[in-house]
Amino acid sequence: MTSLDWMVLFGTLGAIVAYGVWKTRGKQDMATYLRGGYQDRWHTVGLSVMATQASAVTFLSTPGQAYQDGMGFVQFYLGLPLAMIVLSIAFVPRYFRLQVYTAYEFLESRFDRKTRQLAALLFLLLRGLSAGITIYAPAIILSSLLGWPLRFTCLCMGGLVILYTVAGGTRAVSQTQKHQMVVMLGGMVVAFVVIVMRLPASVSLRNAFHIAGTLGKLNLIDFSADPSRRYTLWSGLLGGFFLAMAYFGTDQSQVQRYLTGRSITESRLGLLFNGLLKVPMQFLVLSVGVMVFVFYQFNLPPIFFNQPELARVYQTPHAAHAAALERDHQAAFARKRAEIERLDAALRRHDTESIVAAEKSVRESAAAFASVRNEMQQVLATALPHAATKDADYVFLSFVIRNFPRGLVGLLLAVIFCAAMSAVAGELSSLASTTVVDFYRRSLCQNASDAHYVRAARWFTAGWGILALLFAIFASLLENLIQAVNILGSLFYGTVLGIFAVGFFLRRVQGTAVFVAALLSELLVLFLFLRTNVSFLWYNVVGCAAVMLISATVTSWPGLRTHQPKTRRRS
Amino acid sequence: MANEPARRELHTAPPFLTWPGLYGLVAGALLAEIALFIALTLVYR
Repeated sequence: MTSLDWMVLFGTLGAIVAYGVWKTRGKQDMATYLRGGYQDRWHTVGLSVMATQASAVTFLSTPGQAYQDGMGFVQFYLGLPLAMIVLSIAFVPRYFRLQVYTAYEFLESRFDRKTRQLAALLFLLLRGLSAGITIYAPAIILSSLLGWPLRFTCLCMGGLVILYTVAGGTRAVSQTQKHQMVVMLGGMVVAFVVIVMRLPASVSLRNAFHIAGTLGKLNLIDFSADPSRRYTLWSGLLGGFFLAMAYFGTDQSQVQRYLTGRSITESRLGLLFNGLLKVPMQFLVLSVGVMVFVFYQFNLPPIFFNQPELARVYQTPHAAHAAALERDHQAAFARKRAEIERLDAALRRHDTESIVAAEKSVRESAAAFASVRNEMQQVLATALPHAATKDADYVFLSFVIRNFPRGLVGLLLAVIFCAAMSAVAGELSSLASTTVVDFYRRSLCQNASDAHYVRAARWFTAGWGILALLFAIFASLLENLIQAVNILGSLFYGTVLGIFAVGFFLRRVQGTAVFVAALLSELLVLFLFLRTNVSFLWYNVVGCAAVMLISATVTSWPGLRTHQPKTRRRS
Repeated sequence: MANEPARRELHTAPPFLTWPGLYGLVAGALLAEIALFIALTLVYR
């Protein structure tokens, strides 16, 4: 890192945070602090929604995923635009008409308090834990590759976020997220251009895509109907649709973002803006990973991208084996590069026969190259039994540090920090509003003044922030918990969406029926998770459909329909 | 109490927020993207 990189990094972050704090200075009431005072235009809503979803992992792991497994991950987002349309039509007007602070208030106005607080509690548990992971996941990669102390990195990210989120509330979060998202999108466009410029002059963009395609990286669409395959066109469209409905329609961290809209129209436009931009953005991020892959067809990549971990192998009795593998790696790379240059030359001549022959040779030499790398991973696992043998998360940042010009390393680090901070800020703000509105004001302190609830919200924001920070700092001791949190999120989303869907679309169903249906549906999802190999995207479809079906069936049983739907609002 | 301005706004939605309008644009863009992805998958494999 040069001093120019440090200036770009801290200049970008400092300017955005200062702007957010300045823009939201002055006295705030509850509507302003928790709902942004209905002031945001559609572009702020849209960028803010995108920034909340895009965590640092999006920019660190996704290019690495494309580098190793290709671009099939883009299918995960194919259901999202359709979900934005349905949410705009069905959910946004309902939330605005009820003037809710949180999505869970709707559940009490439609069902009862226990359903509201069950959904709110699930949100607090899962989002509260994941806020810590949102800080920890990028911090561990940054500290490993840049040599920064892990706690310092966590404190830098988390401390700044707590500062401006406590000071300015939801409005500060939206205002900073707007600029953070611009930095993220701009940074990734710059990254793509820089990587393409670093390819050999003779290799055109079209030939670069051809080389990537030959080696299986342009597998964007998979038509397979196998439910155990994680990303297919069908799981992306259907499972992705339900997941996006659950995340954007029922998760307070997102609902709070579009409740800041100046009107229903502005909020709807913001969601549709997200629906238009999300898939192209993910395509861009994955393309960056594919271009890094093409770059490393002409330049020797490290045998293992997590270099500090590899260095530890050389301090074990396996050092000689590792050194021999590094030599094999270089030789295999030289052979592969020669074949790829032959393919590139054939492509330039448009010589079909030579292209087909060269493609075959390229695939064979790539398989030999990959086998050396796999062997090194096995050596690593044997030499360091507790070490992580996957290095996809390290590919992109390691590439940036080694190959980007001065100043742009700082910009790309700013992208990663912005992504982490925007995601955490959205999470903290929504955690605080749910705690205050759905528990503190609803059950503990019902008739206090507006100023009292704003003060409480500030304290809860700080409290959740400190909790997330502590979790991030000590997360290395809690590896199993991190995995559990990541899995748990996908297990509950479908059921929670089902509860909301019943609330919106099945008017006859009442609180107890939906409560029972939710419990039974969750058991079904847990059965799928524990006893089958069905991909997690399908849990959302099954969970939601099961809640709707079971609650409708239970309601149709004689004696269980006790009273008509309530329409009054409680808060 | 329901939010009256919000209720009124629903009855005076701007023309671009009615079907097909922007909803059609988002759905159309998705179809175009899927077509592009299928083409890329089939051409470069």
